Amino acid sequence: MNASLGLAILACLIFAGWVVRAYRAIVREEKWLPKVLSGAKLVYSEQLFSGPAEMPIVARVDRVYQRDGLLHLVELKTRRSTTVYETDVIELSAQRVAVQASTGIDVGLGAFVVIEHPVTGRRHVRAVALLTEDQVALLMERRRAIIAGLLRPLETDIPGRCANCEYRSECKGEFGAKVFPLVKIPANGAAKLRSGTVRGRTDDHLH
Amino acid sequence: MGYCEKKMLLSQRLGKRVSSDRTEARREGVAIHRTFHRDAIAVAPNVRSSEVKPWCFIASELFGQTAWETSALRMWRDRVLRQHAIGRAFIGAYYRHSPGIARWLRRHRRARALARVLLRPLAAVLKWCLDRHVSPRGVGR
Repeated sequence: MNASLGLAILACLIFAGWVVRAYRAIVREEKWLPKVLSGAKLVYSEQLFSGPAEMPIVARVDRVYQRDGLLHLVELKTRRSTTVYETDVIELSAQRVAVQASTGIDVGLGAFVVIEHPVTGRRHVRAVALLTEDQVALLMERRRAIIAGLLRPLETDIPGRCANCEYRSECKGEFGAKVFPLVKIPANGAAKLRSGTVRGRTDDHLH
Repeated sequence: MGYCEKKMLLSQRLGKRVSSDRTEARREGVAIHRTFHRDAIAVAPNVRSSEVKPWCFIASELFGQTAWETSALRMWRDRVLRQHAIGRAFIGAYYRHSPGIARWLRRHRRARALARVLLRPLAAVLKWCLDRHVSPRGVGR
């Protein structure tokens, strides 16, 4: 009898613990959720989307909320600083193009980056303005041109990035490594560069 | 792009390189994303996702996703619980609370062992019942 009473009490305690933990999870969610999204419906989590045929993008979106018929993107980042980088904006902008193409529903040009500290677990939310579809297309065009050797790639202006870069020796010619040739301009590429059809259009929007 | 165009080009030409610091940071990031995804399921059980939904959170945590115990509990959910309104309500409540429980179990070794001892006979009984009483037509419903 005592044993069964003990088991029942244990079960009740475990159940109470579960309820408290579940409640905490919900509170934790409410804590970081920006006011704009409170009351919005969470429609996607860790979902893959593909871009339109002319823009080969595959994007995995952390979360998508829907409010008043408009979709809003949320991206989670783990870092010690609460800074939002240009890469975050580009990533979210590409996601926006893919989500819009896959669902046919408009995605807001404003999105949110949730930055979680890896040690404390504290979350900060930053609102960001995304690039338009045309700007993403231009960025892709610029990327293709750089890879093809038609454009000289720009170097980061943040010194800390160079210090920890895995390609530093080839980039800077350090430790006896030969500096890697970055541009190989074919005959038609040189003509394009001179006329500014590649560089001019992309640079106007992106730099 | 956006980070460093030179790095983007060099990684294209020389192959992707990842430092040990980056690998560690990525591992942390994956774990935090998993928690973020589980929280999403806890607050919105009907959320759509391309991830394999770890619906049997507790059994997956205790026995692994492909273990027979997890399969038995999953079958019981699909073939028995899902057929009734009360069962569906239970599934909803379970989806809401179980990610937190699974997380707690992951941190508590003894509790995990105790839960395994308690759940294994239950899974065995359910498997036996399902094998005996549920027709094959119920599969996949």
